[in-house]
Amino acid sequence: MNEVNAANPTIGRVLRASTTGFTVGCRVNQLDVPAFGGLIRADTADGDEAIYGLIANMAIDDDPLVRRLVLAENPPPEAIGDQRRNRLLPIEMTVLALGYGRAGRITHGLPPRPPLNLDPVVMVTAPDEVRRFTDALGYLRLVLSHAGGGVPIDQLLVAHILDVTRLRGDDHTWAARAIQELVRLLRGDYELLVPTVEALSEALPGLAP
Amino acid sequence: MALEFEQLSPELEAMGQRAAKRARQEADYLAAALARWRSLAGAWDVITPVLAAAAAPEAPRRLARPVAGGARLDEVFGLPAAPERGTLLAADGSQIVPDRHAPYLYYLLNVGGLVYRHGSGEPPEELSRPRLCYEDDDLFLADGLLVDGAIVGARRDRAEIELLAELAEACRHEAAPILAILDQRLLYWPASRPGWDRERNDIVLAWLAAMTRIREAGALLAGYLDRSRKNAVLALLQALDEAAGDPVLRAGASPRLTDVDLFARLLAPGQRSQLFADLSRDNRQYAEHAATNEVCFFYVNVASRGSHIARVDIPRWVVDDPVAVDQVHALLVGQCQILNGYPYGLTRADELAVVGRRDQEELENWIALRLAAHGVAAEATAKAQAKELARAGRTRFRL
Repeated sequence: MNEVNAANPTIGRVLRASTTGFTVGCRVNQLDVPAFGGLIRADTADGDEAIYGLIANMAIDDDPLVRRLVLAENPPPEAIGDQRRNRLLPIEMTVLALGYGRAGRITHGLPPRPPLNLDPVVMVTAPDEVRRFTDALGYLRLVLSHAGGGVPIDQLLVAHILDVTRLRGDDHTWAARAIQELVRLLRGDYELLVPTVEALSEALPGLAP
Repeated sequence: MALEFEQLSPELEAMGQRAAKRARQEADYLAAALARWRSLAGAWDVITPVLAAAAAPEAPRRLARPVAGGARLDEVFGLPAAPERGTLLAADGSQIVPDRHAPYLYYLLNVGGLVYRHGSGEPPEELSRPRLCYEDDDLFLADGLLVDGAIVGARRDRAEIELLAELAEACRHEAAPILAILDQRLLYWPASRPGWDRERNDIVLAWLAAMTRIREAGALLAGYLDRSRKNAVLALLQALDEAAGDPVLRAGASPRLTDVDLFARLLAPGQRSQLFADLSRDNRQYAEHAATNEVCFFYVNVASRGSHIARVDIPRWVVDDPVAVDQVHALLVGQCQILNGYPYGLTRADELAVVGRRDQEELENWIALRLAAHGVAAEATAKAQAKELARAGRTRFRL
């Protein structure tokens, strides 16, 4: 399943995983690529399977040395660069598992098994692969199933729809279809529907109802 | 059986009372010492004969000798402007000592180094050098005894200064001033042990050779000591007090008091003391080996507020250049202020060097795997296994 594609930059490796999601660790100098709501793919070591998901949280940890540096009146750029470039504090990204690929076919749903520690993770930015994953919208139901679990679902959906619209070449037709699907899925959940639609209206004026 | 703290309660109370009483006595002594230091600081008619007597080979006491003859001993020097650019080299080491109860005999040295390009805006370069030692020559002394922590520590110290010398040579064309630092005294003499004299001598010679390599590479050198236990300046003051007549410092002198206690009352943030040299047989031998390697020192308050006194050892080739002394002073205080109390470069070198318990467990797993791959079975002693069981933690019964 592993696709060699320069448009899909590597963003880190799996730190820990379960069926419903996994955590990716990356270095600070890899941080300019991943973004909240972005579609990512973890490739298994044997290359037979890939697990797709959305970045639902990014956390930057600290340690006693960083805490001490924060207290310095004016830490020099050499010390700040040292923390960011040399010291191995991974930035952790929480990923919601939404689908998997096997033998060239993508399926929406929880993967049969999670990725393993240290499996490489790429940001899916190649337009063809983005289309293949997002043409069908079944994965949105899985995203919504995480509501109430501490993930800001409305903001996650807005970030994701904006990102995919751009990667699909400003495909506003797809965006309108995704919004309609969300309205349909959330018609019984006004508490989530209202903020989601409001946020989408602000981000994509004219597309949201 | 866990430690029964209740049994220690009376001693803990007595210890607290004793500490409070001692603190009052020491404060009184230091107030008198400070007044005496100020009154005798320019009395060279007293100072000169005291130093002459202390310089005699048979002199019983190890005193501090002021480097600048005729200057006031209590003079303090403000924080100079730091150079705009410079290169700071730091090294530190760590070790796993041999354990005769372990399944296999070995020890490990790990030395960490950092090249910090002050003023460049660039992240520093880091390195670490592990070395696994398992040959009989590494592990046993000539009389068959297993090397202990003190000997492994001395070998680690040698590896630290040799790494600094290597870095100084590699960085000789980097931005000047180049300052190499250790968290170690520069006047280095490991403690003597039966059957270990030859290697001890070799280590001291290697130490001196590394100092010379650093000088020849055009670098400055400093040993940074946090909470130094040296009391050579206090010893000088006591000798002056006696020589001046009507001594006031005989009573109340405590072996706990150090030069740091005196200079904590003298130095404002950023300030350093006068330069001193040890009047001692060890330092004479250093100077005889190479005059440039005579070890001198000063005290400095590295805090931005309040007081945090460190001792800085510098060799004679740094002392002889007032600009170099200012550079060492400014760069070290700047390094300490990054983390509010200890040089950043040494903190990071320590982090790169340190071998924790988990590292040791992982290394020993690797060793066991490699031995097993070659058909060698090894087992910890029964004592080690029993300790492992007893120290693994007890499970509490819960209802």
